[in-house]
Parts: sequence; C-alpha cells; structure tokens
Amino acid sequence: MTALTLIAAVMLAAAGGPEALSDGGATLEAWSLVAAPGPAGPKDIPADLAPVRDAVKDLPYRSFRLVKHATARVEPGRSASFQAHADYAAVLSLEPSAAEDPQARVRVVIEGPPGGDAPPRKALDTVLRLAKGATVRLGGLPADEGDLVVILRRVE
Amino acid sequence: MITENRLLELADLFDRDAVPGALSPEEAAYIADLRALHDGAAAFTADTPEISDAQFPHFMEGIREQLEAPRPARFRFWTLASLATAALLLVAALLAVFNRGPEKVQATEVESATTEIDGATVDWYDGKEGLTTVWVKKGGSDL
Repeated sequence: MTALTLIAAVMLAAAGGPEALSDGGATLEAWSLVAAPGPAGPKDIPADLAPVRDAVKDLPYRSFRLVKHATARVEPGRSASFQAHADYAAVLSLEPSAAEDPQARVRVVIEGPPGGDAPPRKALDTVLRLAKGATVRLGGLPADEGDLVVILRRVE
Repeated sequence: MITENRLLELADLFDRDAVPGALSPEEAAYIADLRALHDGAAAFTADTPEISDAQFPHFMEGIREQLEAPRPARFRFWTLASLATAALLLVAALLAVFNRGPEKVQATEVESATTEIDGATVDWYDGKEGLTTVWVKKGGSDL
C-alpha cells in the first residue's frame, strides 16, 4: 500500500514538474522555399508545404515552391548544414546555454549568394532561442524570381 | 453489636448447616437473612438446565466448532479507505501523465540577427501563434 501511494506521488510530481530538459542538443526540421509574387489570383501553396502552411500563408507572395526539406540534429560542437537553395547554404549550430535552460540557443547562418572569387557572405547570421515545438521563419534573401524563405521548427 | 468475625463465623456455621440454637436476636436476624438469600438463590436456579456427563462431549464439540469456524469477513473501513485513496492518486497521476495534451508552442526569442548584404538590414518580430519572423530587408524594402 505504501509503495503504491509512493509510486503515485512520484508520478504526480513528475507530471506536474517542469518540462524535462534536453540533453544539450536539438533536432530541427527545416523547409526552404522560394516565395514569389506570382500571377494574380489566389495563393498557390503546394501540398508539400502543407506542414508549414500556417507559416507561409500570411506572407505577401502568391507563389511558393519547396526547395529543400531536411531534418538536422545539432549538438554542442557538432553543426549541421544543408543547401537551402542553389545560391544559399544554411549552417545550424548550437550555442552554449545554461544546463537548466529548456530553450536551445541555435545559431543559423545562411551564406550566399556566390560572388565570384570572394568568400560567401553571411546573408543572415542569427542566434535564436528555440523552445521545443517553436517555429521560426527566416527570409528576405533574393532567390530566383522571388525571395528565399527558410522555416525552422524545433521538434526535439 | 455483632462483630465482623462473628458474622463470618455464623456464615460458616450456616454453610455447614450447624447453626446453634441459642442466638442473640441480632444473630438470629442475620441467620434469617442468610436463609432467605439461600432460598431465593435456590429458587432462581431451580430451572437451570444442567449438562449431564453424556452430553458434555457434544457440548464441547459445539464450542470448538464455533471457535474454529472462520470469522466472517468484516468491513475494514480504514483498509478500504486507504486502498481507495491510493487508487485515486494512481489514476490522477496516470491521467496527468498521459493526458497532458499538446505542448504549448512557445515563442522564439531572437538574440541577434545581422546580415553582410550591402544596404540590407535585418528585422524580426513575433507573429500570431508563436511564429517568429526574421527578415532581411533590402534597401528599404519591407515585408
């Protein structure tokens, strides 16, 4: 009886306690897309962008085209990168943070576009604090007929 | 005045049915009381059934049966109350663990954002439903 009560109390405490802290890493799901003004008419959001429809539907563009969908795991000292577009590469890395911080400090650097022999510029260099489940969109970089938009969602 | 020792002596004589004939009035009254008490007790127990030697084994067997028979289940209130409380706690804990619902999406915090694109700046804002936008603005263009 005592053991049963103790188990229940421990479970209650665990359920009501703070969110479990991560092990220091974060898993990010990324979508890169080109958003363009497009022809007049309703917005054209293709099916492969359905998971991030809410993140693009209010952008002032009518045409959207998925370029890359990737999942990346970043850990201390281990970055991840993916080609967001032919002209842009995205590098994700983890910045140091307090052990009890439930948010991950993720640095996102989007390099490009290529400029001859010059090294790639950091078109965007940002440090974000991402809680689990949080979504952020990065954009405004000229690409093809419109702008490059990168949507990041922390899934773990 | 009759003494305590004399009363005991008279009672003993009465029990042995050897009460002497010459008694003082007080002693006679005491003996009369004892006799009335004795006669009353005898009348009261006259109809009391007796267990004969032949009946005695059966009588004892009945007692043993009653002693050895399993006790009927009794309503143990505190045991049941404790068990019910523990069960309720367990159910509440399970509900809390497995019925927490979708985790609330928290807003993202932008610590810094810069760009090396000439003439461009970076702006960021929090939108609806916890969606944060970081946007590179080119030469006065705006989202």
